[in-house]
Amino acid sequence: MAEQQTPSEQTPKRRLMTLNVGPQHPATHGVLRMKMLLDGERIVDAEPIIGYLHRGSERLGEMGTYLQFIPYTDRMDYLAAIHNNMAFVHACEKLADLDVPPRANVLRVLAQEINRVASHLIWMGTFGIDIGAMTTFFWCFRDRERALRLLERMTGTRLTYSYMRFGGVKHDVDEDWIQDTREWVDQVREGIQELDDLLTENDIFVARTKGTGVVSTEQAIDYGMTGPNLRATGKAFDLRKEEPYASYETYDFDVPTSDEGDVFARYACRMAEIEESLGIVEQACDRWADAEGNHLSREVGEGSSQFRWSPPEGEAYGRIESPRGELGCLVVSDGSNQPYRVKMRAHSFSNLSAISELARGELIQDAIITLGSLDIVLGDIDR
Amino acid sequence: MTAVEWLTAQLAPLVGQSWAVLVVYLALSAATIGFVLAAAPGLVWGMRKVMGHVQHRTGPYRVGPFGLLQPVADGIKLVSKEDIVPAGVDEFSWKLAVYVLPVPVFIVFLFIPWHPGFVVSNVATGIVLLLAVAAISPVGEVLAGWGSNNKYSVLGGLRAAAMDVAYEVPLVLAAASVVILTGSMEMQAIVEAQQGVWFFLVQPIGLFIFLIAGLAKIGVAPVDLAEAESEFVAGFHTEYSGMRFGLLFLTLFANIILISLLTSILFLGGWQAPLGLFDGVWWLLAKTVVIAVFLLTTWFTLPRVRVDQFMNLGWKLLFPLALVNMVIAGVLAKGGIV
Repeated sequence: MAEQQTPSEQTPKRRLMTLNVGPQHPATHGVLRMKMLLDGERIVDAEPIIGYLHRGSERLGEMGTYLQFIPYTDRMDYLAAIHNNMAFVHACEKLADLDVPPRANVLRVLAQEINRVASHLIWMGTFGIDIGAMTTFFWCFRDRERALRLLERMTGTRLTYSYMRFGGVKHDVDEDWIQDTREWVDQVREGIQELDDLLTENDIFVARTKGTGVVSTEQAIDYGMTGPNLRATGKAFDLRKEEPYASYETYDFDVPTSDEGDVFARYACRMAEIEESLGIVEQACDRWADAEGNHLSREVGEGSSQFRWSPPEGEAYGRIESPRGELGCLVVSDGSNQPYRVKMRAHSFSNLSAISELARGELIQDAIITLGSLDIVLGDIDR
Repeated sequence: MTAVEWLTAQLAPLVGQSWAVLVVYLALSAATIGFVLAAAPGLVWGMRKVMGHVQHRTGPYRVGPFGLLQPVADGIKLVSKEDIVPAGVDEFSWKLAVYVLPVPVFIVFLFIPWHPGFVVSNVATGIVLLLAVAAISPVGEVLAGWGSNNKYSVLGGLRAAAMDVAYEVPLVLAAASVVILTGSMEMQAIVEAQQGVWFFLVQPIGLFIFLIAGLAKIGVAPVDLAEAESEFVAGFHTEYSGMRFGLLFLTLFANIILISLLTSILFLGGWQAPLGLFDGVWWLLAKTVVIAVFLLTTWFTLPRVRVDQFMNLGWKLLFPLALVNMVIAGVLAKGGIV
């Protein structure tokens, strides 16, 4: 059963089975539906069907003021809400040519990197479920919970932060928070070490992930894959380096890459990225006390002036490096207080689009972990 | 005189010999199966505690002292649930499966040598009969998979079938090596033969094969291929709910107890005490608990293997290794070393 060849036209007697995986299925990470054509356990064809979580966020963006769109961005890629806020705010600031005080930038970097670690930990945990390692899930969620507590103290909410404002962020943090963040960095380092001990050299884990779901750099670029998925193919493309925003250019960090492009490479990339993010968090903690300026630009101000704020006529595309890759936002303004058009470039969509090709000819088990390793969020794809 | 014979002799003057045999046998069977039925939920509790501590959680602690009554609460919940028969199932095989799976597993506990001189059913072909009866159980997985009218169930059931065929062979061969060393298939004789030298010392390969094959027979992670939740939802028991699911769940835990017991009996000297101190059922149970905790920890630590890799391991590594191990056992037995 297991060693079957991929069927071809020469074996017309072979009966294929169509299996609908999802929209409610433990492995599809949300409400993705995969229509799989199976020959035994081998996948002949797989077609992802999306749209079960479509809420019309972009259209909703056109119906409110600029500030009112920020909470909608939280609910797109809900595992990296800070980055979604950031992408939209970044595009708007680019359009309005708005300067952000250094202190606000430090806070933005802190929030983003903590959120990036939290998001990667979720990925690691759910990937553990995909591959059948239940314990990974709980260990990751333990560390992620600590990250969420920090973000909650910073922003006021656990998941849908709405933390970014035009020209800065919503609140400043205090000295206690900085201290706890430093402690958290050490805790996560320990947790990552434990995970490393549990998985990285585990024979079963390596046997399943190495050589599975291989993506070449050309393929990745063709599909528009970004983030760790692209970097795992050996291309060091990180927007924090390529097109720095929030003064990332002043931080000292590496862009981890692997060459194999398989599931294990994507795992290794994300592990290394967590470490880099923790380094950035530490640097930002050092800078916070001496950072100049306010948490918000005086040009815009707080409260109702944020609500009334709108960029001048024109359009701008801002892109940032979210945990899942390039998250872009196109804002078109007609000069009124409502966006004329908001378009988000969903990184998960591009990353997911490779799955048909990757799954073809693989065993179901391999396709499941390949899908898991792409780190998709359906809220981001469907919007 | 064994315990069973003694009890029968006590009862015979009152009701006659044949009735006495029947009554004693039925009473002891009921007691043994009752013990397993109580031990399985106990193991469920133990599993959740071990899992909790492995995963930085607490496990159950609210219902009763240390959460000990949690399995009872679970049982009440399962029994009181609605009995749902999904549309389109093959009712005969679907309903039959929940009996085919647990019944053989519970029956084989009658062949276990619990204590010096105490086996409920002491048959000359003990270990062979035990493994043969236990091998009926996986048929239920295929029945459940087929009867459920669900593609996930079919795939899970077929995987279960492939796995059981692949791993029943090394399991039986590992046990056969012990039989060669003992020179008898009788369970009590196997334990007695380990006086002084427990078989894991001369049969480390056998123990290794038996544990892996046993894990495959139980079907939990890293080899929970038949019910791989991230692939096949719940495999062959996707469509079962309420007490039907409860029975399948109970079978899983009865299987863990069975494999742990068998490992203790075949390789760790059964009721034999280390250093000859107070032989008895307590040693058997202690060894069983150690093996069970080991199996549980394995379950919670390792990721799931891939189905073809696992089949390769079974047929291409464990099967030849088990044959080699039999030869080793033969040489040891012939050479009079053991």
